[in-house]
Amino acid sequence: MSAPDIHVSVKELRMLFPVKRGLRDRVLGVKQWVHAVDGVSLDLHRGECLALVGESGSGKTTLANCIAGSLVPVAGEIWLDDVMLARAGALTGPSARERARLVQVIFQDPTSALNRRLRVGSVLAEPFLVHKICNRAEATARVEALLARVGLPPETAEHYSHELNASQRQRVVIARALALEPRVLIADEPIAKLDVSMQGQILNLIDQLRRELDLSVIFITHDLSVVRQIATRVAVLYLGQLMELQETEAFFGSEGHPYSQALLRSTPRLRVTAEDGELHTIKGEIPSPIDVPPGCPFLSRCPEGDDDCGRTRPPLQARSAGGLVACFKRAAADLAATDGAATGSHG
Amino acid sequence: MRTAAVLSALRRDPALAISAGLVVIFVIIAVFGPWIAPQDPNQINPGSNYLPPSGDFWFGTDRSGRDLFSRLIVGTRMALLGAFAVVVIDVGLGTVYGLIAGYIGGRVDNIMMRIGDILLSFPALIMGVLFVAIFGPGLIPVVVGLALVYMPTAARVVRSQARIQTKEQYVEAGRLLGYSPLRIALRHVLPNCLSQIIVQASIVLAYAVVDLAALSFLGLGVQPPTPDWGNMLAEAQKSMLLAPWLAIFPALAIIILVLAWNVFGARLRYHLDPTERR
Ligand SMILES: Nc1ncnc2c1ncn2[C@@H]1O[C@H](COP(=O)(O)OP(=O)(O)O)[C@@H](O)[C@H]1O
Ligand code: SF4
Ligand SMILES: [Mg+2]
Repeated sequence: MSAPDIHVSVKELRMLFPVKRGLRDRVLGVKQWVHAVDGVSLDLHRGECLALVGESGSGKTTLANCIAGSLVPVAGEIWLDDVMLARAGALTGPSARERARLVQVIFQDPTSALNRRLRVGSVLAEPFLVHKICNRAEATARVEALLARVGLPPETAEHYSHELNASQRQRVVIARALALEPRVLIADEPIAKLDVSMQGQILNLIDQLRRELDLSVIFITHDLSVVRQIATRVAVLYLGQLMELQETEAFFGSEGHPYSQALLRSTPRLRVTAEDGELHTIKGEIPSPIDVPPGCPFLSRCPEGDDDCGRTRPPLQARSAGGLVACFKRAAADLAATDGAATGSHG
Repeated sequence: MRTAAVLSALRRDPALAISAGLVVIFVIIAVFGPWIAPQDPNQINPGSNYLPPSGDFWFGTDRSGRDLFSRLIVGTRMALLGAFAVVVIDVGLGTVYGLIAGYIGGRVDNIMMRIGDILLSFPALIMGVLFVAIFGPGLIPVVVGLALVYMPTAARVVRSQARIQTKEQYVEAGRLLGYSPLRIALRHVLPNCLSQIIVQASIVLAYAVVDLAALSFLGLGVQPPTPDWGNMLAEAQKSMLLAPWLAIFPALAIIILVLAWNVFGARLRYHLDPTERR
């Protein structure tokens, strides 16, 4: 297998938000932080679709916003090919206008993502005009081409967004994101606000666009059942930390991170049920992202955890079967297996 | 296409049609008043003073025998001119102020709004009096004074809407597409504040008509003998029992104008906002 072609590289990324403080904290001068993204390193391969999964509040959107350049990280680096996009405390490299032609975002709520005062035609022509790609007359043809690309008829240009249904609106948002021909597309829960009947179409559209345009896609979702349809790899976030990074097939097949397994068991549409055939919700409480526990963040809910897990943070380690997992137990099991195999071959 | 839409809105919405009709009539009277008025508003008719409404003098005559109807007609100009001037200055400044505060947010927003609060703490009439004390009586100082006291209210309304809009994802989408802050503020945020601005303008116009009349009533605004609803009311006060029509007709003029304008503003907002219709 050839080495993957790394397109975007996130290195030790950290993003903190100040907590809204009460009077007492202000008087005492206590400053607290939400650890939204807490030391995440991962690569996005060229042309792949990397699914970013995790429960609500796990830092998916924050990580995406850092990559898009909406947020300035507190620590770490973000690279796109050999250009540094951001480092601790600063956006680097390209200007906002240049960046717009590299990375674009598809938002969760297409209603909010479209200016309801503008017709679709104006919305889609604006990137061309602002970036002086063409004049107003030529923009019309380009808008039609964009609409066709996302499966909308040319008349859509005449409509206001509120005259469209949610799926059509999301198509317009996708079309706008494609206008500047970006290389990287971040889709932040793009189907979460759509009816189930429309979700499949949008999933297929994103998948098709990725192939046709050779886009590198980060697909954020908290719904594992869509991951299998669209993703080549899966990254699992928990409390702002990366728990597992795995090929999609392996993710659904192998004994992964205990948190991944809990997620799989709690996803109804997957019908991945435990031996007793029951659907399990993940028990226990998510620790506060303000006081992040020193050891494994998943310890408070992990069925396999013990005291050792609470001492230090489990490092992200390569598994013998491929992929990366941050779990002491899985690392130990892998080690035992390779040792066993090694002794076995000797004996 | 545009005209057709306006016509069909007028046909389907009688409240809009009637209020718009009244507003248009007031504007026509304001512009062409001197030609419409049956008599010279300052024509003194000795011996015809304090006449009740009749065929010759539709709304009666005042102390000097001047035709009240003609004075009301000609006075419309001052009422509307003053109020429109207040609205334009107030809403213009308030929109710029509120848009800046709302779009930038944070500390800038805080400081700008506190300054607005200080201005707001002046009662409108006191501010009018203050400006008259500094610049002398007349329409212009009174208009500027009123516009300044109303400004923070307009700014606050625009600011809070701008704040709401700035959190919408289309603003973030614009930033990610490399649009300039000015473009996002003017082309995206401002139009989404438009219905609030129109409502504010219609409210302020009504207040301005009343406050301007009050200041003229106090002798600070439009100076006699130039006819103005406020100074006509002031004069009427002296002969309330003898000639009540002198107070009734200017008061009615103020009430009808304010009502018509308020309804017009409300309907206009309804029709201007494409998402409010269905
Ligand atoms: N602008 C912000 N200010 C303060 N806290 C934030 C902000 N954005 C996100 N957070 C916090 O950061 C954590 C991660 O949020 P987010 O990235 O939105 O998670 P996800 O997208 O996975 O649901 C949450 O605890 C959230 O409350
Ligand atoms: S490190 Fe321990 S607590 Fe964390 S997931 Fe693995 S077994 Fe569970
Ligand atoms: Mg999110």
